[in-house]
Amino acid sequence: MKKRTIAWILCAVLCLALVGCGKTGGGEQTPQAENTAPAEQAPQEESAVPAEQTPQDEKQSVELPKQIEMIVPYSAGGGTDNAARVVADALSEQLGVKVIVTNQAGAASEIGDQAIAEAASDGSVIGVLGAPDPQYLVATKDTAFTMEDFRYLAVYNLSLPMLIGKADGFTTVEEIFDYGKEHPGEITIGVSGGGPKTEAAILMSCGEFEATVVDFGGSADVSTALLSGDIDLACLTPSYLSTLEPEGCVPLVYFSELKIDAYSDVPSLKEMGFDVNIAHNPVVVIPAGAPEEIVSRYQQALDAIGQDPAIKEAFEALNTTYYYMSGEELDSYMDGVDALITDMVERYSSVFQ
Amino acid sequence: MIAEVLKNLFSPEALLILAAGTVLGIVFGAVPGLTGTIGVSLLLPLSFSMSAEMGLLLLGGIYMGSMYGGSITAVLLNIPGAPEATFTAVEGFPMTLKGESQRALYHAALACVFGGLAGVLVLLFCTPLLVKVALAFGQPEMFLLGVAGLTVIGALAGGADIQKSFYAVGAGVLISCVGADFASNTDRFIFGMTDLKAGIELIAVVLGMFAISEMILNLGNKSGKITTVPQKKISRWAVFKEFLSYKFALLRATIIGILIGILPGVGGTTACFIAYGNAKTLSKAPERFGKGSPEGIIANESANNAVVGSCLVPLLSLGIPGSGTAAIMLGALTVHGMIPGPDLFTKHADVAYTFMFGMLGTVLIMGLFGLFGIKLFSKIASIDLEYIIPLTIVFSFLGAYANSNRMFDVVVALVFAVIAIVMKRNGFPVAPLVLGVVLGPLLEEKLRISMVLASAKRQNIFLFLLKRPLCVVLVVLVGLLLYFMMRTGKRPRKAED
Repeated sequence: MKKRTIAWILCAVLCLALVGCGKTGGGEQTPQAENTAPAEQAPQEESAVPAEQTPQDEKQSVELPKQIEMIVPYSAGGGTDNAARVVADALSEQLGVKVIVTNQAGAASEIGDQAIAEAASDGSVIGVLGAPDPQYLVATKDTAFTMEDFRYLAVYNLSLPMLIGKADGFTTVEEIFDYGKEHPGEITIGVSGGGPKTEAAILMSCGEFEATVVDFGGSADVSTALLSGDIDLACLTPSYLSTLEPEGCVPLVYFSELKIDAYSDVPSLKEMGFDVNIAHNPVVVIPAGAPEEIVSRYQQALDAIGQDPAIKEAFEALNTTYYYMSGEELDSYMDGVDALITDMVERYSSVFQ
Repeated sequence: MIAEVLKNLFSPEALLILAAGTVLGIVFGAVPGLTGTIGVSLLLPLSFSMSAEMGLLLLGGIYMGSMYGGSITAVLLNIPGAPEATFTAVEGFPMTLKGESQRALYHAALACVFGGLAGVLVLLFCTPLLVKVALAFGQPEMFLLGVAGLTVIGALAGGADIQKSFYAVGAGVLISCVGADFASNTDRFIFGMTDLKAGIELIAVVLGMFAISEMILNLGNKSGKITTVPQKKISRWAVFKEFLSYKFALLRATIIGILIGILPGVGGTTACFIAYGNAKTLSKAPERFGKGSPEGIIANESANNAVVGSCLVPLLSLGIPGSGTAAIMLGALTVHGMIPGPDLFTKHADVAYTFMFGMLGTVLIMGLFGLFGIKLFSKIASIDLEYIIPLTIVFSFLGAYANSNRMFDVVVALVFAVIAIVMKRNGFPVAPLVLGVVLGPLLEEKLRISMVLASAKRQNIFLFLLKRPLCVVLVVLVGLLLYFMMRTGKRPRKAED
């Protein structure tokens, strides 16, 4: 009898623990703050007090929740997740509150994107979208959210998409255009996700030719397929070049205006006379409808993070290009990407089906 | 450089981290539902605060340890701690019921050490060659490898009707189709439920079908124990001699683990299933499989741990992760500013080699912990069911939840527990369904990509496959495996006759 009672108590405690886990979010709670807490919490608290006392801004008086959830619509360890963790740590320090990263991956980010869009707009939840994936989802399927459901706050880093080929294959974009026109559908371009699909469509649009776009489950698979010779070209970011170049692959063209120093001699489509500028970038967002005071409190903190050289170094260590954007510049850039994706989806519906 | 690596490895900090990581991994592997992937994912932020080599050693230890840990509860409670340990449960638990849990656990530990060592040694010494082998496998070859994997159905059927196995595997493949399609992102079979867009999680299926269903079936067990048979003591040396008598099965399974580990996206569970199927097909005593065959445990566990080292081959050399856990470790490398590829071995050679040699240390610690802790572990089998049942069910729920942190997956696990009970009561084997869920995505993705590639070449898919020499070899292999499958499938019937 006694044993049974102990068993039931044990069971009830474990059930309560499980329910407790469930209440905090419903996403993969990688204990960002928990793990870093012993090391960082003390200085955070120290810095939080004087920050609130200094009348830098009257909006400092706005009450933020004691804990902020940062939803990342991708698994732990990926590019967006890595960027989100850098921002979460810095934001914890700036705001003096715990920022917990929760990963809600699945369905090409749709699950997490929707969770951010539907979250409470009281400032307790922010998110990091992996643009242009949500724009692609909105343009191609009947999602429960639109881009109007998010308010863009900041971008810190860009992954600059490129077209990569094999050294023994096409060596210039012009060659691709010429061959593609003569042999419609023969060139194979490997892509994974909405951004690269859009880039493949942009390439076909610029060169006025038809290629076969091959969808893969992940960028690593695209990289493998290029190396094993299954595809002719791949839409990838430069982070793959460190392993692809030694195996005989070459970058051919940028889809973005910006370039990275190591590959500054590679042309961009913009330089070739095409009005194209698209990058892959984690965007810090807050659900639309959040009170202005809260938004401005976040914006102030995120702007301060954007000026911190240590943050720049942290992003560069992630092998991405540091580029801080906020306010009108960010809105206008995101609108431009929206328009580009919508146009490509309309013109190349077969690629996106 | 060697002096630097040795200094790093034998520092008290490194030894402590290695030991802690490995032991933590064993615990993650042993607790139903808590897999190595979850362990690595949870400890990832902590590793960021360490130096690169220490962070990687911690994660590597967890990864290696978890692969062994899964076998403990599989053998003692019939609950695979992770999907990879499914067949360790199938073979190990009947041994526990016969009072031979120590024998089963020693075999599992020895196989883990052998497979783990082999995987890390090929990582250290054969990386350039294995990279070439991995790149020879294009999309069509991967598809055929998936088909080869399906042919183990016969072996998985146990004593059940092979027709029922086919139904089960078909259902598994269909279940794997639930959710947003990988290419067009079209939602399939979601019936208006947002949670289903992310698909059905494999871990929820495994926990539901093996752990929860097993516990439900044990409700009302009058003895109040998993087994009333006393667990026999056996010497390590006696088991070691028996272990060596299965040397060919061990070698085959290890090679299968290494080869599958280097192929991106195929994964450790597939390696274990194929290795087990292969062991049963080529065994001198296939009739002992499913009733407590050490050969089955050895095949499963050696393949499982061989994957750990070999899946790091494409990760470190090409930046291509060979498994889900390796994908998270790629994140850890990136955060520490280390980009996989040739530069890793020139610019960060000390870190890379400390990590690779450190993995040998994880195997050693895992082996010591395994071989000397078995007497303690085997006591689990004598714990009263009134403790085991609630603990297992709660941990299974926790495991289902923790993978993606969705309560929905807990519901999925419960639903699959009910499905498993209905299947078992009607003579349908459960393992082929899990095989279908594991192989379904691989088969679908690779077949669809192969068809697109064939259409770009204006060829039909059959011609396209037959024009690739490696594909032809694989087609012949699939044919042979089918022949063996039919033969294996007929055997139990003959026995029954």
